[in-house]
Amino acid sequence: MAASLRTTIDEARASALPSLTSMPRGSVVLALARIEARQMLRHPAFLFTVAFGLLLIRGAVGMGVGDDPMRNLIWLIGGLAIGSLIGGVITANVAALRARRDHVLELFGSLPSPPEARTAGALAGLVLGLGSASLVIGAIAWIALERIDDTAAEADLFLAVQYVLSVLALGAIGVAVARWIPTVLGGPLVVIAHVFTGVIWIVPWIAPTDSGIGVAWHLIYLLAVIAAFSAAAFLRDRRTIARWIVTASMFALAVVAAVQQTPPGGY
Amino acid sequence: MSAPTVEIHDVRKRFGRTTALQGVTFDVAAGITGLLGPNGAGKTTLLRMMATVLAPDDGRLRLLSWDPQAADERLAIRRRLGYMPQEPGFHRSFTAFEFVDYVAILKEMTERRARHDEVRRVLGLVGLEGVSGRKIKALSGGMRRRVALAQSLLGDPDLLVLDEPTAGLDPEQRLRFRELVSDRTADRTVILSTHQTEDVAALCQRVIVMLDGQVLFEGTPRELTQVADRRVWLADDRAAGARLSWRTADGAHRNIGEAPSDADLVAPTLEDGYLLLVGDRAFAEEAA
Repeated sequence: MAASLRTTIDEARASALPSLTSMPRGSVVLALARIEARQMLRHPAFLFTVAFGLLLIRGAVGMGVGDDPMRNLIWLIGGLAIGSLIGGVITANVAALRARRDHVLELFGSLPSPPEARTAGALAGLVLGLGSASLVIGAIAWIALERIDDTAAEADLFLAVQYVLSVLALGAIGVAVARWIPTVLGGPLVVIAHVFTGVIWIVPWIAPTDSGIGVAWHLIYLLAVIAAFSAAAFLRDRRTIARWIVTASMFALAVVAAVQQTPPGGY
Repeated sequence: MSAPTVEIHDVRKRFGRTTALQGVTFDVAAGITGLLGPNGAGKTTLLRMMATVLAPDDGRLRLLSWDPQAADERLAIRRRLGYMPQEPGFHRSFTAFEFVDYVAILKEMTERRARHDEVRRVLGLVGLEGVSGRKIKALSGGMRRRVALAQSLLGDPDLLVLDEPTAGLDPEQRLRFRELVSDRTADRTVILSTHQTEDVAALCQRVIVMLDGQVLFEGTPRELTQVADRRVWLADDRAAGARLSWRTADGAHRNIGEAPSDADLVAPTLEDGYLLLVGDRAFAEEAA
């Protein structure tokens, strides 16, 4: 406890001299993104939640899903998708939390790259790692659905796009939460609160086209959530008026899009 | 002394009610300068200022001719600075190579092949090439400090600020550290805070002793050693005028303090000079 308090005080002292006002170099962000992407994809929290998602789906549908290998593949991909959505929040959160948790802020404060470089690196790593992985999962799911005779009509490219954007949106939430609530419990709490407060049912992350959802507005909603939480993460690094305006505008856009996408009679 | 690369003038710093630095003034030129002092003397606070992570409340600081208070000049300093904090943190889930590589990226080394070569070079310098693929959480405390030292050497910085770099190193590694630091070219500046007076005696061209946030001594290691001239002697027992006394391996007592006229004087070490200097001040404060 005392050691932890001391470290907190030390870090507060270490950040007394503000970092530079310049934005990070693109090449620095890209190099960090490669490392972050690798770290996220092989992080135990991500691997565990993906495995858990698979097991959950397997348990939910039972063992007798039939002998159709293509249908089994779809269930498998469903499990991967759920696991990667949850795992995405947690690993992105852990990645953005790493510098504070590992007490390297004093060292990083002496380096030429501003803290925005690490935030941008985590967000870009999210796109490069989890975004690419979800793109592959989404593409396989779409192709698989199309190839089964009785599900070909349900093959919905919109679903795959939503899934990829949802992984990125949840990851961006994980990064923003880590920057504002620097505790390792932040990621899991977001997941739990999201489900148990009912938010998940008000604005679904993924909904099929035939649910009556406003397709364009839903995509705008997902993009606005990604932008809003990314901006909120950068706002923690430096609170400028421009960043406040961008963050507030993106949250406002997300709310408008959430309202507009809802079918007239609800879901 | 050649042109100063670090200029510190009347620097002051307070943390709440605690005064960490009270008007510190000195210049440092290229070469190795040792910073000695007991715990709480203000060494780490001063080093954090030299590492541009902490601002003084008052006074003037110039590093490599730049002012760290000005944002653009601070960037110029950080591009030429290597810093090893007293309690360096690590990304425990990274390997030694990955961590140093991560720091190298934040030092704006973005060309991958050249960066990886540089990471391998600095890990080799500290003797960690064999364990560079091992996760940091699996390394010993001494190895972790060498990882911290390795990252500070990235890009061969003009100003190297090292806060207790040899703490936790075994004797062989300490000697290797001395070899590594002394091999640096004469136009580089190394500031070395330590409790190991042997390291200062072996390495440093200049030494600064701090106590209670002030500079107590500034000079060469030889001059610091001379503080104990004719004040160290051997006797069969602890002498009355001795500030410090301990029994050596051959049974005699090594006394430090005001030697009697018939004392069996011995050559002092830098540690003797340091102990007397710090002890004299503490003694004077006690008397007051």
